[in-house]
Amino acid sequence: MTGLGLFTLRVENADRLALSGSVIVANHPSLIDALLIVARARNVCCVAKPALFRNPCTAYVFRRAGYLQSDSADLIDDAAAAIRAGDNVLVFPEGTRNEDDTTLNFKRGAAHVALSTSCRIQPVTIDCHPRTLQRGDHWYDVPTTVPQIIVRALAPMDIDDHTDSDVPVTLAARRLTRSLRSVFVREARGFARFDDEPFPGNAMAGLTPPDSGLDGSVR
Amino acid sequence: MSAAQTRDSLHEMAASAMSRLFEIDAGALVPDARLSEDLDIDSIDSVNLIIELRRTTGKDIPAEHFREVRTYGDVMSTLETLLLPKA
Repeated sequence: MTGLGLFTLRVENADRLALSGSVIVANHPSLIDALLIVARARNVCCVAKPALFRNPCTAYVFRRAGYLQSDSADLIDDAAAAIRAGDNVLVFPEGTRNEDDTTLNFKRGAAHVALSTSCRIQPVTIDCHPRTLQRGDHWYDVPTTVPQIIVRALAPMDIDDHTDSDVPVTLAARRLTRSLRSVFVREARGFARFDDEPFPGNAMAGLTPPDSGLDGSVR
Repeated sequence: MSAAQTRDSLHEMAASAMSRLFEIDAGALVPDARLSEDLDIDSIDSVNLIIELRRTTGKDIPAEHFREVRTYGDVMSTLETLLLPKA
């Protein structure tokens, strides 16, 4: 798709995606986010909303790939089993494509999976500038400038601070989800698109250079 | 003697479980409070709540009775039907 000039892509810290038995957590600005990650990490099992198991474009692939349906009563157990088997489970905790990158209303399933397997969480941010293929957009609505997508694998998160057995799992999942969300909010405020539009009420906007820590491939 | 023999003690027990599991203040537990939108309780939380209520009451609380509940008031009326002695 980059070859067609539809967008430019930069992946930072791509080596962090060479992992197994982890929960990969990403924000969800566009239609192609999952592809960008699945293309770079091995053995990725996606958690997807039920509609994608009915959509004729995706249903066959999603079922064949053994992807997990987000409304399943066995979701946490199935995802935990995948992680114990060495797969990585990709979760978009926003549940669906977002309207903006800083609201980040995270659901807690990813935290439950990590807590039940004591695995690490690999946060990945996706910065799409200008935003394209959003929820509600038609796939043929092409922006006038070529979108730049930066996929950034952040430092993996250890969940050891959250595995106190005296704390009910419901509370542990809330706390872990809050920590995870704050990582994404902090990162999202440095997204490239804020370089030319000031982030409301945030004096730190634009202070994080978008190319910090670059060691991934540039395409 | 069950811990949940009267309506008041049943409500107290539910409120204490809500606080322990979800850090929800008793003040937020009004009958109209919607579990998902107002109290931020998801499906995994519901399962954990039922397990906790079974543990504190020592009674079997079948999960299928909670399939249709939407508000805190629904939860309480379901619990009253299941746990309070019939008048």
